[in-house]
Amino acid sequence: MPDVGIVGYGAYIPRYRIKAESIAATWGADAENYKRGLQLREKSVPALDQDTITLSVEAAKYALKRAGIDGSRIGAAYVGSESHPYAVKPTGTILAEAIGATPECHTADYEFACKAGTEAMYNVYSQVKAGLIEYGLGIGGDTSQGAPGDALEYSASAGAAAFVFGRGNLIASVDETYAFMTDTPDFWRREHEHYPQHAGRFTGEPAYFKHTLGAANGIMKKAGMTADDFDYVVFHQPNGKFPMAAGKRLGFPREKIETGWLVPWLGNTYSGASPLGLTAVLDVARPGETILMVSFGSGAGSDGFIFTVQDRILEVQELAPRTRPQLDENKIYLDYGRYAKFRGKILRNK
Amino acid sequence: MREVAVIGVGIHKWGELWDMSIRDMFVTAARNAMDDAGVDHIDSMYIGCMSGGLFAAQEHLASVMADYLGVTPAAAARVETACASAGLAVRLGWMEVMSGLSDIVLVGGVEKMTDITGEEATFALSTAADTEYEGYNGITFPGLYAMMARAHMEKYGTTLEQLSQVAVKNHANGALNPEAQYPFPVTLETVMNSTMVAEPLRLLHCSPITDGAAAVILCPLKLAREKFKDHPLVVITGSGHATDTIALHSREDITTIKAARISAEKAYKMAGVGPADIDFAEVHDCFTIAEIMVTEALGFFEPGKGGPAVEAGETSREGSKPINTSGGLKSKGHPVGATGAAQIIEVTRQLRGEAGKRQLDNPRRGLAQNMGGSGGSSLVHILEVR
Amino acid sequence: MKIRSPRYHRETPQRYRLEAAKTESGKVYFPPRVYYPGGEKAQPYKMSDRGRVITYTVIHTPAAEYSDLAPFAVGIIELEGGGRITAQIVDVDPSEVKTGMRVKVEFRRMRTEGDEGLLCYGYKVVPE
Repeated sequence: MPDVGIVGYGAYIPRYRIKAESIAATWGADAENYKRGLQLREKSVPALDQDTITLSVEAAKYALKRAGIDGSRIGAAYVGSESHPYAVKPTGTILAEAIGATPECHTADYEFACKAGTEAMYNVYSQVKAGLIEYGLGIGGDTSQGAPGDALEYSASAGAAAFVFGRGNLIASVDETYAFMTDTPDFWRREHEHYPQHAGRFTGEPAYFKHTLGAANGIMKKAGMTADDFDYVVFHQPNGKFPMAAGKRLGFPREKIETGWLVPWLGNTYSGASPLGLTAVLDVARPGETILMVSFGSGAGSDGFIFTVQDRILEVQELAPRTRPQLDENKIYLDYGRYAKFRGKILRNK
Repeated sequence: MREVAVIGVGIHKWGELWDMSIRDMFVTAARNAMDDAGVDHIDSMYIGCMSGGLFAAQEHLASVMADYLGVTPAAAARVETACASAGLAVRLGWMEVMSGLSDIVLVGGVEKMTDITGEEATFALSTAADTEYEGYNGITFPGLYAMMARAHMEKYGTTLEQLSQVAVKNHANGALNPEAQYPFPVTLETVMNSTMVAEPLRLLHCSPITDGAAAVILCPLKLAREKFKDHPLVVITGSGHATDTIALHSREDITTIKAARISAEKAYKMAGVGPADIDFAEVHDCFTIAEIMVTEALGFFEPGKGGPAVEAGETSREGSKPINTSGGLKSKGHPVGATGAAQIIEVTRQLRGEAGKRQLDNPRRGLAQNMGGSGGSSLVHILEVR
Repeated sequence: MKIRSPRYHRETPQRYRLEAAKTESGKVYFPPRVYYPGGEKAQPYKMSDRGRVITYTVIHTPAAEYSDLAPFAVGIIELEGGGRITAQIVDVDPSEVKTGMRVKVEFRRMRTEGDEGLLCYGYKVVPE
């Protein structure tokens, strides 16, 4: 059994929400299209005082609590996001300072659309496996933006998930990893632009499905496993429909997808999306269960992980807030006006 | 040590003085004080100012004011202890005269608060709290006093009506003060329905943003008896000064203002009197809760009884302990660096019998209490007429 | 007035990690000091992230840097194990804040120095 893997995890979801109806009413759109067609009912919204750094710090604190280690033992902290608060100045240093990991800590900020979070996990895992560090933090977090009135506005949301990787004392071993990518221009944001551009239906088959299915098939082949060998599967979830469709095409029954399928109530947390799906699974997983995780980031590529849940999971699930309760409880709904203020979408005097 | 007399007082109409600079205001008040005293020169002066820099982009007020007042090369110093700056100026001038170092000393204060926006003024005032550990967290001065108010209300049952009655009383007094910024009465209903500022404090529980200056001339009592006989002689018989932690959250008890109590105890001891011997007082009602808490700290009322005392009319002009006959900071205005000197002026005028329509019936001994920040500093002076 | 790098940077151990000091007699000082009253010796002490509201207000007229947040609750928080902070109480309708309420510290963005300046972080509290 591999001795490197996840030793702690944490999820953080802001309390604010906006319903698809509130967005649709503003733009004269039909909310049912989004609710039924794309399975987007509501989404999380960061508070005025939250950004990728603050969400990542809280998720990281929860992960450290479950790992049972002090921040000073973190040798690398990588944060994947497409909404790093500074254009130039690391997210990682602020995070590392806040959790007490400085100064003996390597940090890096990743950006790969919605895949940056699993990139961070991938690289931290690699460092632990190589023996370069004892513990590392891989984080995916975003306060993603969708242009007002654009389809993305119904999904772009906020949240972060953090994973402490280490050797021994695992809650989930990493049994296999795999990466699959091509240069595919399905979605991008140019420098100094507020909102991303996307290529409409081109984001589906040539982008999301090609890479998600490619990575899923690739990692299962590499591991010598099939869909039947997994208890849970987590995909990137830009909307409710895509991950279900991907699962169906790979032969996963709906119930193996649903545990980590948060998007109808959470929205698309971009770099946090598949990582938060994984935290939701870890919240309820039992020892011995296996998890397939496949992220997707536009541009485009997917990272795959296969995990086996270890006995220690039962000791840590209650040590920090679980994912689903954060999603389902204590919600504060915003109307579109306050949402627009929160997201800086109102033109104002400086 | 020499006894020190107040021989001249000078002020001007306070308010939003768009046409007057920080120089114009101070020089107007200072010349009025010099004329009132009948002096043609001063040996030195102390100018209280909380923040010439943040409010008016002017520091080095010592030279600015000596120059524009035409008293160079007289010694001058700008002194600062937030909203108690002028109270400190009075104390330092009193020490200089008492010690024999100088004979004629001008003490006063000035603040020019309307050259910046209200939000900028809110920030400037917030620097009188702990900038890094209070201001950074978004607390404002009304907010600090609001937290004290809530604690006082929860501990003693002080009511919003009582907080509001302080404003009603002070506006009733200020309506009789032609120099007040807001010389008109307000009703309890108006106060209690005014705009919310920092819960539970509303706009009319707060002193306003004011431009203004005030000045007082001090000299040795002996010299006053010989040369300055135009007014009844008013003597400073007690002075007390105390500090407390800068941050409200560092204090063991936020329902009392310890610096006010200790500064008063020092002044009482020096004057050889107690709270019962004080006929009337000007106190630092930057927020109406402050007046209630200060009257308790001064020993006028038991802790928790300040609110009921206001309600019972004990602090009105007709009451047993008239408080803030000038209108207080609430109605007269609160140019923060000038307030402490204006309090001395009101006490002096009452003792001289020159307080016009708000004159009390032959008072003999008055007290002025001036406070900095949320109670991080306090100065108390006791004045008597001879 | 904008916060510039040196002033911001030197407070980060306190703002980010609630680093305080505890004297031999058990009194907690936040922030740590150069000298402790009575000449007491003190050791670094990391304050708890749990506490309760001692008193509070709801600010309706903040300084300019905080105007987007209004109205917002601010309180004095007594932390478990000692130490008091003044902190915003967020993620709650200000009308629901009560004295004695239990709260938890979270890392938040406190203010932004215009479109081009620093992003300033620190502690706020949320209902537990």
